[in-house]
Amino acid sequence: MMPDTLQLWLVMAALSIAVLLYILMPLIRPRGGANAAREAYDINVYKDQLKEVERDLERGLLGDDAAEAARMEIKRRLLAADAAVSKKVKTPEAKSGMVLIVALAVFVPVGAVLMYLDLGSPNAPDQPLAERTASAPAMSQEETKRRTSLANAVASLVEKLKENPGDVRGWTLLGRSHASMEQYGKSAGAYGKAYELSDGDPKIGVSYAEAMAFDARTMIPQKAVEVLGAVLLRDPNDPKARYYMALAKAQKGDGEGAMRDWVNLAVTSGADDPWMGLVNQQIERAAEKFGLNPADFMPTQSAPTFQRPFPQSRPQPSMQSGPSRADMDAAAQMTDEQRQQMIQSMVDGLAERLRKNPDDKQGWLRLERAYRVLGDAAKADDAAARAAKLP
Amino acid sequence: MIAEAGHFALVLALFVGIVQSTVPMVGAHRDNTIWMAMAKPAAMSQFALIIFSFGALTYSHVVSDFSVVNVYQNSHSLKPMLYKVSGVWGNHEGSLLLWVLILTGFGSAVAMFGGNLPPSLKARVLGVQAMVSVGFYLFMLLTSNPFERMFPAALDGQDMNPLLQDPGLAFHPPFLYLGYVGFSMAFSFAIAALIEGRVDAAWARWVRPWTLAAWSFLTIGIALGSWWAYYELGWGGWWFWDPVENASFMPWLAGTALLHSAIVVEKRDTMKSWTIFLAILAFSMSLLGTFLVRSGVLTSVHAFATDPERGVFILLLLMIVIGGSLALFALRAPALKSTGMFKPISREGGLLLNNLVMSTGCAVVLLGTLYPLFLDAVGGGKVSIGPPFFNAVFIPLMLPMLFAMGYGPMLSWKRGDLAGASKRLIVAFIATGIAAAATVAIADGGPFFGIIGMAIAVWMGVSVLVEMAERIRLFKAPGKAFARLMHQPRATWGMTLAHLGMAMAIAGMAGAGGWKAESIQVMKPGETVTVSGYDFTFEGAKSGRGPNYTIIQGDFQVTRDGEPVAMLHAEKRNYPVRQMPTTEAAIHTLMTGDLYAVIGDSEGNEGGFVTRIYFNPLVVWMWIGSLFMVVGGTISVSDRRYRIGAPTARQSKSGKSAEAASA
Repeated sequence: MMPDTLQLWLVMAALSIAVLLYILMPLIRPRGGANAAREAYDINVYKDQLKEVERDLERGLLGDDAAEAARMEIKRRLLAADAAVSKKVKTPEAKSGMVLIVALAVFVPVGAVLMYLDLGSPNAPDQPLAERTASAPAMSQEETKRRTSLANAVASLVEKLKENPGDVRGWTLLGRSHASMEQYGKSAGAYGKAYELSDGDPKIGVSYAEAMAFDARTMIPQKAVEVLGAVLLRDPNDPKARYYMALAKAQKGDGEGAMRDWVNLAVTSGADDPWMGLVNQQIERAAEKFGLNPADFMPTQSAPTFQRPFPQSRPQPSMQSGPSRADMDAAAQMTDEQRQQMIQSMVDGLAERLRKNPDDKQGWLRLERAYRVLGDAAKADDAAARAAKLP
Repeated sequence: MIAEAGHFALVLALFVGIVQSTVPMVGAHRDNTIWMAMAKPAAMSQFALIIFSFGALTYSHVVSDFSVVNVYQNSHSLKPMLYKVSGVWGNHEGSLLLWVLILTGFGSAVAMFGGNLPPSLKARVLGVQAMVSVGFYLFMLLTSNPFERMFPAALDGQDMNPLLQDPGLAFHPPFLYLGYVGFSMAFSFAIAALIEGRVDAAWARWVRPWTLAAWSFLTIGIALGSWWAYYELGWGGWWFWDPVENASFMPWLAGTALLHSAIVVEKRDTMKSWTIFLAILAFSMSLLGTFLVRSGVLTSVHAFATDPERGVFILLLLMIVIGGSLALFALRAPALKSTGMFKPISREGGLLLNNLVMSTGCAVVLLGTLYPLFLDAVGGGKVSIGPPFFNAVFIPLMLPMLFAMGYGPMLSWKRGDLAGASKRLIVAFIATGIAAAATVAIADGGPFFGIIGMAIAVWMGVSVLVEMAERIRLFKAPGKAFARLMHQPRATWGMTLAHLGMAMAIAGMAGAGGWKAESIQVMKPGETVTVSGYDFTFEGAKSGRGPNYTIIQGDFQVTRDGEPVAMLHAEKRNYPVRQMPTTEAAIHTLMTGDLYAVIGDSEGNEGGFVTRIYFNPLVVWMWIGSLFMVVGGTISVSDRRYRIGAPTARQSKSGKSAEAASA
């Protein structure tokens, strides 16, 4: 059998030559004779319209008067067109031009082949599934072994988890196995179970969020952002969570927030930490995309400032004044009771601000969520109602 | 090899397209018949190349070649064959390939059958058509290449969104695209006319059938999409004013206006600029619709921004096509001369009113669809404009036009007689009054717009019948009435059927919108719920397995006053690869309304399930009405007056030779 690539080139050549000959035909063998004038085509239509009037008259769709009026109108147009035809007696140009023939004969195939070589993979054979399954032994033995053993491991793990669904380690392992098989949807599902059972273990949470992000392929999904937020509350230093959180911000258009987080991550990491390459790359990209200078985001002190007061000096739109990194860092070090208190004080601050600026719909919606978290349903409903009234 | 050959054919089509968009255009400008003649073989070869390319992609999908990224992302080895094939166009890249397949198909149809068009017009039309396809080829090859490969190939695919694994949706996009792309013909004709600075008599005769065909396809596409939403999404509704739906509705509105306006150009040689503007508008809305749905701009402005290459290309393409054509319109439209005059109260006036309302309606939908996107893009936060806005603005806007629709066909060309028409419509007035009163009596009141809707539907239906009765003089000379009915031109039949279909559809919308009944509850086997007088008894649920999904099927026995009416089998499917559930609503259609049941999650340990039961009155009339509209459009396309021959090549002043050619 012919090699695949040769076959492809033959098909390409056949297609090109056939198309080229076909489209050049009018140039190579011009059909003689001039064309009818423009108006001759109009005349045809008008004649047909006249016949239509007669037909309508026959059927009784038109009265005699109306038919006569319609006939007059069409005949006027007919006369005008007729006069125009007789005035224009001009032979149209009928040169084909050798230059054009040669130019097209070069441009079309050469252009197409060059562009195709740039875009395509001419040496790659088709890989239909049936053929691949038939030639499975050709797959390197090790690879086959790895894949089958992984698949077997997953199958037995699933069986075990059916019997003992509360096994956090089992679910985590399942999540990792699926991830290494690039089945991120399943991976996220398993990690999600583990995360829930472990009561929000930050390490599992990060893997969970990562799997969700990989599964979504484009944007980091909202659920993942929520998980990352919860992770950062418990372990504010987790580099992976910080990295993805910043990426989520960048995707939402919050360039400054993303930049601040990445620069912060870069500054607080060791130069040879494995994630540094990626972080630096993101900083560069964000600097270019959002037009920011990374130097502006260097923390002024080496240690992050804790207990930074709620920004009150200048009124900001409420979308941007979520809890800052420092707030979150601080929250992580508190006891549950203190944390509850801090959230309460932040909520009070928000409520106060909305009293002064009641037209802030997003603010009311945030307040509603906050009250729901605090378990104050009545106030939450009230805030929701306020939000609903706003346009 | 086959995937790569398909890739090459696509690239080659691009280069043929470039030739077709330049050489014939220059030829038309210089009056060089040979250069103009190149348009035909170029259009035919483009079509052949894209068929080849589309075939290659289909082959890759059918044999599950997961080295092709597009196959890997949208297919799965276990998927049923029907969806392996429909998966070819069930995704961004493949749907663009379908788009150009249809586009070049239409182009080759003009090349084949355009013998009766003046050669320079034909050359320019094909040139413009090729420009559009070049834009699409470039977009595909540079940003959304369906033939991208990956090595090593994946073991298995990621499967197609299970919601799309449904016969209704498998065939919905091709029809929608036939409609969208059909408007490209009207667009190419409009641009060609603007370049030439004249609208030929043959122009309108060509534009109208193409527009009618596109409109009919689009109507099928929208009806299929709406039908799909009705039974697959399981919310009991059929239209949600969702941006994706609006995207197909806008070209429909503009296209409806266009096909009415084209009548005036053809019959009365006036309203030319309007028609050209509407042609540009209809195609612009089609482009916008294609990209709105496929670019991800609808799901999130941010998702759009994360793929800036694609986004910028789309914006650029839209800007060139829409901006460029409107600029050309502004420049050349004043040069188009009209000869026909008419009074405001006349057939032309009625058609103009239709045009105005339809394009205003289109603007309203456009505003409601794009406003949230703009606001979000400029950082104004997320708002959603939903059914309340559209119902409050769109429906009141349409009502007067639907009323005028009864009058329009009764008025004569040039100047009409309003009082006379009113007198002849007296039957329709009476019927409308009775219908409104009967609706109130039967339904025991009801929402205002529901009653108005029923009344307007009856008004339209009866006035269409009155008009037909007038035409065939049913009452004046009943003897020959049947013979006259058979002799009506097909265009008349088309109008009558389409208008009747509209009346039926309105009745369906008013009924289902005004008197829908629903009930949501947890049901245990043996329990009964009564909705609109029908007793739904839940007979329990069982589980099963489909080719690539698992099923929970809930059975309902429906009775009315103890008499059995139907057995309903509602399904909930779960697709493990994508881990997504879908609902398959059980629907039993009656002329008076649909019995509609959905099964949800299981609740409690005693075999209880969440169930939703709906009664949607008259909903079936919407689909019947759509069918009437499509049939009407198709009959109208086949009208004999669209088949005129070409004049002979000799420049003759005598009418004889031209007549011989046309015979």
